[in-house]
Amino acid sequence: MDRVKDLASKKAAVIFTKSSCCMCHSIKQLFYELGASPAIHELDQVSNGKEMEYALRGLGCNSSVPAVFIGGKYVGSAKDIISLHVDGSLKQMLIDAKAIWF
Amino acid sequence: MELQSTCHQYLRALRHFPLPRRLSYSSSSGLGKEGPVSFCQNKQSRPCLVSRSRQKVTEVCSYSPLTHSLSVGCVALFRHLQLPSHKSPSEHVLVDRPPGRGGGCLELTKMDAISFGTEGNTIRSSRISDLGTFEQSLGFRIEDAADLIPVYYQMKSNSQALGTDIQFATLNKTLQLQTEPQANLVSTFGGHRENWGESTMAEASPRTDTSTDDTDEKNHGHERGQLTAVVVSDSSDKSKEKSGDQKTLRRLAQNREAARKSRLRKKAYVQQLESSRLKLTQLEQELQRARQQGIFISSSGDQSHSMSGNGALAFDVEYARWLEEHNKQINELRAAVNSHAADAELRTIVDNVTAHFDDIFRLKGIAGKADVFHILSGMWQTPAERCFMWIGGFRSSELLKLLVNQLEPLTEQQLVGIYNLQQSSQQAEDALSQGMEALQQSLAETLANGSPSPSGSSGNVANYMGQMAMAMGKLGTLEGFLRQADNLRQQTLQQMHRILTTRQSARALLAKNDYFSRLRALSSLWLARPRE
Repeated sequence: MDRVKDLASKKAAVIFTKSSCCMCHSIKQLFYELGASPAIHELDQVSNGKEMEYALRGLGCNSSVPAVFIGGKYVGSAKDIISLHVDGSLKQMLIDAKAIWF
Repeated sequence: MELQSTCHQYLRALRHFPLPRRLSYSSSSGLGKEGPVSFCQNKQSRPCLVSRSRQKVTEVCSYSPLTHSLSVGCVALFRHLQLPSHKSPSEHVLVDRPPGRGGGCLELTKMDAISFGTEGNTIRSSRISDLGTFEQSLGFRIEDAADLIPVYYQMKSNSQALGTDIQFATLNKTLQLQTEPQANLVSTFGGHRENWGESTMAEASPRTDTSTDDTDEKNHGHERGQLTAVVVSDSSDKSKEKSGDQKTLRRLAQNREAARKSRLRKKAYVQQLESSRLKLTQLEQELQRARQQGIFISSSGDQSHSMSGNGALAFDVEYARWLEEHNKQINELRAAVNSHAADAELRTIVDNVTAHFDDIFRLKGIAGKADVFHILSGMWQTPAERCFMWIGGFRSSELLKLLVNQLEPLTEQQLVGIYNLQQSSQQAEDALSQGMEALQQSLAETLANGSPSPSGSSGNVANYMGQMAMAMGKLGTLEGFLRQADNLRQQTLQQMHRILTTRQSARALLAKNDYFSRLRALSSLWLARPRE
């Protein structure tokens, strides 16, 4: 968990994914479209991926990935991101976290 | 007197007669000026009227077999008429004018009998008879032909024995019954209309009036300056025949009533058959569709047995039910909008509709867990909907594009909001689409990865199994995509309603429903189109 938190605070937008997960692919694409360049951590390619995945699962979503952190805070999984995006909150959060500027 | 009234009745009957459009009837009957009319046939064996005093032979022309027969009947009637002779000569002229002249006319002019005139030219002078009978001039126009063939046949049989009151009373009655669709006849009479009283064709309801009623209640009232006279028969003459008439007529009326009832029953039965047939074909189609999906349809009503593996069929049924309920709600909404209901009431209905939408998303979620391919394939939708489907449903961005035009006027803020929403949903759609593409690629790679293994068959099998397991895992994510796509749709709708006012929301829902129901209708039309 600490590792997760540590990584999450390193950049404005951080996403934990798995290379095999296609939904993660979607969320990544969404962030790129918004102009953010989030830090991507592929849990299946990182050394202590399994632990981090376990920790992320403890945060309350069904699937551990994708897990999105903005400004160091856990935002949610795919469903939350899409919902926030639709009502415009996601963009605002990114602006606030200085991940994007407009 | 008797014959006179008979003649009038016959004229009345003749009036019901369908002539081609350009022809018209008018009738003036001031009987009695002329010597008797006799009937003969000319060289072409056509019925003609001959006036005895004038030796003028004119042909009774007709444009239709029906007219012809009636004319024949009419002429035959005249044969029986004992018209009192008078001094002044008169002429029977039957003119058949060419149609080009603002209406052709079938005209028997200048005298008793019938003169059929064109509009505006209806009244031919007729002299008031010495008998003190009145002049009756009617003019009317028959606009539309009606199907009076049964009348025709009856009249044909009736015309064989003319001259009896009963016959013509019956005739009249039949015409009354038959001219139900002829209510317009009365209305087209316009200025020439004559009020025949109860015994006219306008009333289609079968009557049990007797002939005495007919003959007793005569025309009253002057209509639009037209001289209308009442055919009054001398009741003293008829009193003896009244009772006999009454019984017969009552019987006849009852027969007619029974016939009518049985006709109605037959009609209802046929309609029932038709609707059952439709239902049957629908059921067959559904069954066919269900079989296609490889679902075991158990003939017995074993619920638990049939429910397993029936996720697709169950969803189809639920969707159909949902759609029906949705349409009802939309109709309610439409009624409220059209009646300019208060905002509060509109709000309630709009909230109901949006809550109902949540229902279908929930149902889709459940069905997606059971059978994701069924939802993704869109077999629960009509073909046209299916074609333009995106991950198991409609495209939110497209929907917004459709609606924004119909939602004017929008405030600046609303416009910005809607535009942003459109953009957001577009971006989310793109993201999800790319995810799907990645999935497909990954799946393809997995399945195509038939790496030739040096080890024996067991190795291959293990490989194969491994491949399949991986592929299975990937397929599992399909359900996730469907869920996110539906989530996107749901969120977009909710956000839209947040931006719009109540009234705008109502209009948006109506517009959305219009679009989709038209798309569904288009599908039906397409499927039913004639193929070469």
